Amino acid sequence: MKNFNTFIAKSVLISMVVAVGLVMSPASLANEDTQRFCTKLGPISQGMISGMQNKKLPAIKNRPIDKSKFKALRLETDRKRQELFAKLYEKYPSQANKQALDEYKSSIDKSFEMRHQKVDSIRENFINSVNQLASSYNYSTAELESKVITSVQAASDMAQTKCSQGLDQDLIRTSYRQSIISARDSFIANKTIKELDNRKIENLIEQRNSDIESVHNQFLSMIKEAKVRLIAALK
Amino acid sequence: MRKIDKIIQYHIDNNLTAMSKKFTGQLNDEEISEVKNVIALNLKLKKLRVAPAFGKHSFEEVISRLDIEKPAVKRKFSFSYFSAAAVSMSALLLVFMIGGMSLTKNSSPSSKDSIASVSDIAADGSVDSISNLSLADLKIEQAQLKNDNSADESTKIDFASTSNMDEAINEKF
Repeated sequence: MKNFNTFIAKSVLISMVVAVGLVMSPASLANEDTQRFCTKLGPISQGMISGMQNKKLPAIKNRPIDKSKFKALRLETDRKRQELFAKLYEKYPSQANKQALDEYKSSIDKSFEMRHQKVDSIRENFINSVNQLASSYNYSTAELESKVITSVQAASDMAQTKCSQGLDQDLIRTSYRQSIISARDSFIANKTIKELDNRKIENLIEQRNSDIESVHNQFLSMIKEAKVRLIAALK
Repeated sequence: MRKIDKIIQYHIDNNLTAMSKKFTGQLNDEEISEVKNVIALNLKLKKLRVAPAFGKHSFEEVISRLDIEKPAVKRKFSFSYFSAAAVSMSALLLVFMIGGMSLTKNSSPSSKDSIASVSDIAADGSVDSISNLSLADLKIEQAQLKNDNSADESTKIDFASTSNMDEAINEKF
């Protein structure tokens, strides 16, 4: 009997310990966190939005069109070229020579003019296209950032309202987290699309380089043809 | 400049009286014939010597002094060597008769009176200078265009950057 009583006493003691343990279980701690969620919501939301504002991407600045890039070179080449032509006319002053030389000079001058105009035009179009892309990039980035901030703010406001209504904080917390994760994932998906879109800049660079190379080859052909025509005229 | 023009010019400039085998391999029959005409003329010029009044000058030098590009020299020649010219007139006529056709457009004085020859233009380097200047200008422009690459790289980096707002969200979770 004594042993039986001891057994009962031990069982009661164990049950009490288990009961206390259950009261202090993680589930209960989680419940305490949930109960604290509404009080922490304001600082969490503000911290998140403030952090997002700080991570806003600066706008891409427009690239200037440097029209004076080749100015000095061209002036110097033009001067030297005219000097060489003057010497050529001086050496071969007859009327028959003059006609051939006039045509040669005209062809050479036109080759330079063509090259300069086309290269300038290609570079200018390229810069304009880059700046248009930058403008579009800046606009879409600002839109993307604004959208995610608005979504986070809306989720916070919604949770705050529910907290003030005394609704289940566990549910409020879960719903809030889901809204934030959704806003974040949507942001990541859209920015990935933008990253792919940004490869347009590489296409523009390649196109510009190819166009300029084509003009340079055209220039070389024109210079060569002018010489061939001069030789033919003098035969 | 055609290869044949260069070879003819080479034979004229160096008064060659024979044709090297290295040239015959490069030319067709018609072109070889043109070169041979020049060689024949060179041979005749070498044999002919002007009167003592011309001193050691050979005919090719006399002809070169008649070049219209040097009118002052021509006048000087006309007056100071008038009597000597009369003595050698027959020889000159002979040279012109033989060489009139053979010298072709490249070196005949009559041709120079009307139009410069291909070889003249090529020899004085003017056209080559213009071509070289054009190529040099192009090379410099290409080098300057390469400077655009650094700006391009910077632009590419700008466009490759994307907003990291998701990081700010993650930090708070």
